[in-house]
Amino acid sequence: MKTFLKKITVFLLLVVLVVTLIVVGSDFIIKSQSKFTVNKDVTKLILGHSHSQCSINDSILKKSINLSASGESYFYNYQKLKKIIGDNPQIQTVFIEFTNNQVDSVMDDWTWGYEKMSFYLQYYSSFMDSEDFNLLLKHNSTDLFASYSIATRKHVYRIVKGDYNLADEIGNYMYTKQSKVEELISNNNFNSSISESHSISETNIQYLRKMIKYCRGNSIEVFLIRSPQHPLYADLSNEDVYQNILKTRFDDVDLLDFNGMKFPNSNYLDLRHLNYKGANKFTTLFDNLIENNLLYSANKQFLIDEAVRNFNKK
Amino acid sequence: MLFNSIDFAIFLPIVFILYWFFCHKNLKLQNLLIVVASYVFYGWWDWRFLSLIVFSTVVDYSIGIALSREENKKKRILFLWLSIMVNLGFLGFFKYYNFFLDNLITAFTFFGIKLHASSLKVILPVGISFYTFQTLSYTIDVYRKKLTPTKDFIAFSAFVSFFPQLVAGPIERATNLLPQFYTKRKFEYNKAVDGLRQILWGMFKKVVIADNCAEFANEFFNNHTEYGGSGLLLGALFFTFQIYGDFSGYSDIAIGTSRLFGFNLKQNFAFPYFSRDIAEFWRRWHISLSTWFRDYLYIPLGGSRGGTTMKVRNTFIIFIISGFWHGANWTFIVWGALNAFYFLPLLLTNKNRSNIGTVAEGRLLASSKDILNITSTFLLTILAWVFFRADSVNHALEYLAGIFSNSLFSVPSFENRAHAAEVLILIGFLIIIEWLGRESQYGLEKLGLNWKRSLRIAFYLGIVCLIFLFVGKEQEFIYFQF
Repeated sequence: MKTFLKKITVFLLLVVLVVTLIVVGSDFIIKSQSKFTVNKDVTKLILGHSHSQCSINDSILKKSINLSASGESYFYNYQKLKKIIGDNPQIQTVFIEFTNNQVDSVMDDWTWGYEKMSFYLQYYSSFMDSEDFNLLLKHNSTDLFASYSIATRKHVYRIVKGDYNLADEIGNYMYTKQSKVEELISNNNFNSSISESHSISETNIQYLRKMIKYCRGNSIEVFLIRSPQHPLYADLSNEDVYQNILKTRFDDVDLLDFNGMKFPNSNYLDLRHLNYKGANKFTTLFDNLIENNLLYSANKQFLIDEAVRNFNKK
Repeated sequence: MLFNSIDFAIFLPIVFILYWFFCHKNLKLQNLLIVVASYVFYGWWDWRFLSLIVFSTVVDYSIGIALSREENKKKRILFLWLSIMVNLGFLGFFKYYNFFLDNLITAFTFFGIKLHASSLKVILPVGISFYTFQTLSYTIDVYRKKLTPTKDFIAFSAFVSFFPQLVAGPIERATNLLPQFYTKRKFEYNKAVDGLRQILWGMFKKVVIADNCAEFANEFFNNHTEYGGSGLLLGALFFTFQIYGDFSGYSDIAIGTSRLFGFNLKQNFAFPYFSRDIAEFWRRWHISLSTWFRDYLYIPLGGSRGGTTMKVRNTFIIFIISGFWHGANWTFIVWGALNAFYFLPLLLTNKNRSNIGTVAEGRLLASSKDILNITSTFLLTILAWVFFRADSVNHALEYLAGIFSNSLFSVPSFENRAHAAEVLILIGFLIIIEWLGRESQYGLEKLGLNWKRSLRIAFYLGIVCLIFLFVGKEQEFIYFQF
């Protein structure tokens, strides 16, 4: 029995040592080698989830890069922001998508749910601080372990391939020609993705605040932006909650609200996203507004509403 | 409690230390600890259903005693039927009540009669199909006078609830397992090390193979209309390895854990995917269930004795009931019947026992004839698994129709293909190890024993690393639902 216990202890110690070496070693290499650099001309950064990913065409919006990613909560947006700002001092302005579902408790699952955690940790686990880890650990320790091991596997692959430019993988403008709106309407498919009780996600709101603080700490202009959504979009049902959070928690930040912008159904991918037609129109309008000093105007939303009204009349 | 959970990783060393350091001098204490540990293990899932196990234990223990005292044949049969009714009654209620009710309503509706009965929200107690069959084997063997009934209630309770195999087998016979509770277990170094090796291999099969295959199998089966024939075939292939990795992995962990505590359980999977015909496949897949049905149903029905009609009837009965044992759904019945059809030509041509030994015994490679036979048997098995995995018979038929469409020979298109390629490489690794170890009890049993110690340790460490790197979301074992 003594021999057995001795040998099993030695083997387990070896296991711990080897696994730790893999984890720490790969983490160290990723941390030191990874680059989040973007084109030097880029001064505007767009972050958010699939809404902004589909709506802002960064080839139309001058000097911009859209690094929004589908299904990404502010927790992961925040990690991305830190790295992009850190590696790209030329960034002067950050637009953060702020829309109805981002205040909802459904965002908690986008933060520590297995699906999201197991996907996003491969990009950000090496750069997260202990507070961030503790949050995930507190809410979903079992899946954090599994997600971390997946992240380690991806790190090992990255090291083998020598591919350290993460900026190419962490977000983009999504060009899509598809339009499913007519089909969704004819099938009466207006499913909502937010909670029935319209409960809020304190974590997501807290991380949005952290993003704002981080930008301001680095002397970067930060704006919230709401991309156009189809009027029949079911998640608009929490508009009261959304407006209340905006007023009570983010009254110090400008919201550029384009929710009133109307398009024909063929310009939407579905009820929540624009397709390339809608994105081109919206980005052109947005770019024109910026060119006309929208960001430095005292009446930003007034100018937007006017431009949207004119657009809707056409 | 799941084997692949942190809870079990804490539970097992605690029980191991208590067992060998504090209870090793006293048999009663060893058995009592196993009962307590088993109840904790089971209660971790839902303590309320412990009462079923306790009730089943008390009933079968009492009936065993009564059978030993009773010589009157009629009364003995009555006792036997009492045990059968109690055990199958629980099983029938918890597992099949809603199935029979729904089908009864459908049948009456077909004849224009509206039946008003509502389904019950019945939770299926984990492992009920396994421990029910295990306790039934005890009563039947005592009735047949093949086994002397035990008077040791603690030993019997430990036999019924033995935690490594309580919830998903192997279904142990009382004649094999119960006597092991009568003698004090002594620690054997080689046995314990072998147990750990088997646990390691079981974990690899479950965590690396089954759980990763599940990701793709679920995607293809849940969205079958979106994929072409080649994709659907790939999905069925992934499920084929998922079910094998999941269930044989569980069995390996169960057998390995038992060896840590000084017990020997019977082999439950003998490399079934290397079978050269369906008869051989069924001698190698879920052996403890197949032999249970053979001994307690097939042989009493007449087995392969009698005329052709009798043989065919018995074959269908055993396969269909075996399918139905897996779950209250027509898919399992069709799966069982399909396997009976596969088996029939072998039975009718008396070739059902032509492949008894291990394929390519003593050789590294199989002959081309063996490879051809293994491949054709494997393909038949894949098609049958479609019924096992599908939600309904219609779903299975649609899935099969999708496979045999024009797109069968196209390159499959689906998300995450890079990960699918990784999983296929891991399946290749599994096949190689299992092939090399096919004459042993499990793939890793003898592999590397004659290697240099450092190389052997590096090999085991490599497997641990694969488990760590490929661990996914903690998934329940498929057979828990049975």
